[in-house]
Amino acid sequence: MSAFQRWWRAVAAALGIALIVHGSLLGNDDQFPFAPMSMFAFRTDPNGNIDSHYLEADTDAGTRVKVPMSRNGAGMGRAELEGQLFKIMADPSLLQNLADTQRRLHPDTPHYVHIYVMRDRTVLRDGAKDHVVTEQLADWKVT
Amino acid sequence: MSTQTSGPPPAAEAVPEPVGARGGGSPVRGAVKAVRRWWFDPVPGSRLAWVRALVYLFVPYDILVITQDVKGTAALPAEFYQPTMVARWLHLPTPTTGIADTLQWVLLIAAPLAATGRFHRSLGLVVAGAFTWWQLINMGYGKVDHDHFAIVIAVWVLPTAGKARFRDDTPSEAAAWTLRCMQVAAISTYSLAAWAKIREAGWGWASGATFYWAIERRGTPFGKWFLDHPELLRFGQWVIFLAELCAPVILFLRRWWLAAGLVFWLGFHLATWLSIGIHFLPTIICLTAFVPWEKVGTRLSGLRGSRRREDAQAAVLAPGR
Repeated sequence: MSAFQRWWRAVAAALGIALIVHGSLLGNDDQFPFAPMSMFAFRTDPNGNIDSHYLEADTDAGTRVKVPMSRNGAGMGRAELEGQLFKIMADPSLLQNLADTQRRLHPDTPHYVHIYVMRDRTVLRDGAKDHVVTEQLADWKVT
Repeated sequence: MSTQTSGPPPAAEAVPEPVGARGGGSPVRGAVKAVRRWWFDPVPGSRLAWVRALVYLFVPYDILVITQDVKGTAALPAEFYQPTMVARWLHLPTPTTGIADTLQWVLLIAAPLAATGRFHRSLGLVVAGAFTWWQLINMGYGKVDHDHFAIVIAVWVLPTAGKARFRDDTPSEAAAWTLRCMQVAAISTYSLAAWAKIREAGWGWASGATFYWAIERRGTPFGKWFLDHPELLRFGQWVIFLAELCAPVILFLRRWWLAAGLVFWLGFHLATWLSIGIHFLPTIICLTAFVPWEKVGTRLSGLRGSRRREDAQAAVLAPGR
């Protein structure tokens, strides 16, 4: 290997390491692939809460079902639901879209007539489950 | 191209000693020499050939299974697209179904071809460009995953590794550098994950209930068992946090210690996969850059040799590192 070939490799490696270290020290996700490795980097308080949001719906068959949280269920995953939660609580009519999508994607299954935004709040004590509070945060009557 | 040679590989002696490298004068010079040896100490080309095949054969699995969502997201209305910095710099167009389909077909054709090692540079660059674009689309809808850093680095360094063949143990400095880059990328995924925890949550991360949070929300039936044993989860947090901090040590280990380190991380990924369904396969694939694959080749030809007596001698004489 020539000196030049060794040199450009040394420079490239140094640059790559500088980029990923910079991304981790000061950067954010925008710098992918040189973004901070922040998977599960948040801390959960052992005496805090664990919130999990999901949707339920009354159907025209008279049943109450959990709305499947996937792109194929009603076009929305849980992460997307949680990302849009404040928006949905401020304007529950956004849930109409979900009902429309479900009708379009699954014409043969019972249709949603009323959709509820639900939250399971697991209350922790000393790092373990103490009790769970289930609450309804918003709802929308499908038109 | 030489096939199996007997005795010490001749090319090892042919590596030129750069001027100024010999005669360990000042400590600075010694350090420079050590750094250069670490990055460029030649490894058998066959080792690179195996790693290259694994990475390029993994690419179709990645785009068809792990990141197959890209085809769905590319079909979303343009206002959902939030391009990341590199995509903006390159002025990549807003993803469409046509772009996603094209990238997918390019990768499905080019990656398996590149795995053979033919036209390693041109095919490798095609895969690198298309795969990076695919990942930029994948990360362009508000959620960035961190398991793809090392493999994105891998597809860019592999085309520089030169002609490496499965049956050619000729030592190569270019292959050494490529494998080192993959190792550093994979290991920094761990060590920088520890740093991210310190940066976001402080040193108290390990005393929190983050594992409990993860399992409570997305745990498998296996994972849910641990909810009755929160002390085990907290212990696991300490183990992982310390292991991530110490991860760079693995770059300097050899043989059984190295193997033990790799087994530890494989065990960690297996555990997270079994308990919360998250695997880090793209990173694991890059960990294979630590494995002396040329020994597998030697072993295979050894097996063939014992079946066919006339080959036995050649197999015994095959150089192994």
